[in-house]
Amino acid sequence: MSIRVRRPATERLELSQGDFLIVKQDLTAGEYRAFLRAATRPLALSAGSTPQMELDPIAAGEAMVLAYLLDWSFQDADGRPLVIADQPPAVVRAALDHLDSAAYMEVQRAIQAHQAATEAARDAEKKTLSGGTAPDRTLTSVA
Amino acid sequence: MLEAGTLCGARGLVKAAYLTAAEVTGYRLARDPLSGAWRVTGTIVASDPYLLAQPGLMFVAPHKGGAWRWPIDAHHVTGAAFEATLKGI
Repeated sequence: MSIRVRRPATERLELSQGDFLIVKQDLTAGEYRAFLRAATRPLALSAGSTPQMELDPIAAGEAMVLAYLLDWSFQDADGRPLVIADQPPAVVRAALDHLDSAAYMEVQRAIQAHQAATEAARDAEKKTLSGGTAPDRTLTSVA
Repeated sequence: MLEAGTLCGARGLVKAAYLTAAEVTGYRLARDPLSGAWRVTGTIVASDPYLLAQPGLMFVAPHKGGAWRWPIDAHHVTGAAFEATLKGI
């Protein structure tokens, strides 16, 4: 038996100018499916063919940001906190849309790097768990 | 710290860590005159039964500058009706 549900955990990602993001350490299966739904679009195929999906590169970036982002230190043009924590997805999306493009890309790159690092750590964890036991060998006595 | 009165809001959240266990609309937070406990009621518009069964839930009331958060002592869901007693107010 093994534990297959992770406790929700967050990580702080440092950005330039002293800013930071608070992001989810991992996505749950439901969050991952929602991310995939938001990141893909149906392929235009001929009638009668099997429906297929393809990754939408623009939507995929935003979907990943929306899937992981919980909070940040950003402020609006008047220096007031730009509140996104516990806000509906539409509010978070609108806040992201109003960032300057360089700031948005910094957020997206930081979250993509976090996702890649987390995935690499999980892969390493799996290898450790699956490769931890030595094969059972019975040695023949020479006596 | 709230001493008395009623807090009403359009949208509240029941959170298990950062995950949303339920979204509650039209919430009303008031002190129960009999028990003295703070009680929140509202209508559930979305919920996650697994998360609602987890310990350590918080009721989160977002406002313009952030959010108020209170630990949930006990809660009941009857259909779409949500009711919880809060601690630490």
